[in-house]
Amino acid sequence: MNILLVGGRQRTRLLTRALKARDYHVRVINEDFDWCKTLADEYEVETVCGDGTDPSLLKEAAADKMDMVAALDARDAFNLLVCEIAKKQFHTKKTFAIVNDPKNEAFFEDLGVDKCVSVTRFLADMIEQEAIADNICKYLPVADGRVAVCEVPINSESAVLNSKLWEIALPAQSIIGCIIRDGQTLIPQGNTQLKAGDHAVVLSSVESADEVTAILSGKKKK
Amino acid sequence: MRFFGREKDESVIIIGCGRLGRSLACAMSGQGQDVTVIDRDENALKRLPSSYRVSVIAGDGTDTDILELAGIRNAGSLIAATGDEAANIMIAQIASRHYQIKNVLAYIDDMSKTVSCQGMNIITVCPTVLSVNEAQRVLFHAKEEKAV
Repeated sequence: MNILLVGGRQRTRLLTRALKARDYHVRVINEDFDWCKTLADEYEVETVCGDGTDPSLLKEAAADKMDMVAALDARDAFNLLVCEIAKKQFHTKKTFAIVNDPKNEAFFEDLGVDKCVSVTRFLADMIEQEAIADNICKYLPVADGRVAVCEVPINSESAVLNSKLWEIALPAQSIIGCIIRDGQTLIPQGNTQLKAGDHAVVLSSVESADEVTAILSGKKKK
Repeated sequence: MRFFGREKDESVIIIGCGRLGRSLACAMSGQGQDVTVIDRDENALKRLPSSYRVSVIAGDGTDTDILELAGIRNAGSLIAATGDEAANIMIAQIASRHYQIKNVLAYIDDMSKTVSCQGMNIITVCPTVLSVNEAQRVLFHAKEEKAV
C-alpha cells in the first residue's frame, strides 16, 4: 500500500516509522528541508520538500497513485485543503486528516475527507474513561455512545457481595450481561450470586452507567 | 442603509485585517455597510481608522464560535482575506456549506488551489491574475486576457 504523509513533524516521523515497520510504501511531503532530510536519512523514505497544498507538488509526489493521503499538520485548514485537493484533483482513494479542533471533525467529513481523527477528542475520551476508572470500572461506549458497557470488579467490601442478581436493585435501563470469574466467562441467571473477585460486565444506557457502577462497586456499610 | 437599523442579510464579515482586509473594511463601511472584521492579531485590528464604524473581533476566523460571535448566522456576505490561503478556503467553505451565506468571496493566490472550492457557491479571487490583467489593460489597452 502506498501512503503519502503531508505536513506535521514528530507525528509524521513516528507514523513513518510505524508504517515502514509494517512494510507500507511511505512518501513524505514537508515544508522543512532539513526535516525532509532527517526523515529520508532515518527511514529511507522518499521525500518531497515544499507546500503540501500545492497541486503541482502533490503531482510530483504522485498523489494520484497513492492509496492514502494523510494530512498530519497542526493547522486544520492546511489539512483540509490537502485532502480536498488530493480527493478532487488526484482522486486519491482514501484521505485522512488530523483535526485539532474537534468541532471541525464532522465538517471535514462532510466536505469529503474520508477519516478525521481529533487528538483533542481522543484525549478527552481517554480522560473520561480514566475518570470512571477511579470507580475501578472500565467503560466502553457502543452504538454511537448510546449504550455503555462497563466492567465492574466486585471485591470483598462490596455491598452486593453474595447477593443474588435478582436481589440487586439496578436501574431499569441496565443488565448484568456476563460475569468473569477466575478467568472464565459466565452467563448469569437470576439466582447467580456475586462473589469477591468477580468482574460484572454491565450493559446499560449511558445515563444510568454511573448509577450501576455505584451500586455494584459501592462499599458495605460497617 | 444604516437609517433602517440592522437589516438581516446585509451585514458583511471580513476575515483578516491586513492591508487588504483593512481596505475592504474601510471601503464597505464608507458605503454604509454593516461591517465586522475578524483577525487573530489584536494589534492589526487597532490599525483600523477609528473614523469608520467597524465592529472588530479578535480571534481565529476558522473557528465557528468566533464566526458566530461575528453574527455569521445573519450575515449576507463574507470575505476571507487573510494571508493564509488554506485558512481562506476553509473559512469560505464553512460560510458557504455550513451557514449558507449567499455571497462568499475568498482570496486565493494560487489559482490551482481553487479546485478545492469546485461545486461550491464560492467566488475565488486571485490578486495575481487581477494584477496581470490590469497591467495588460493599462500598458497595451489590450483586451483583458485570461491569465493562467
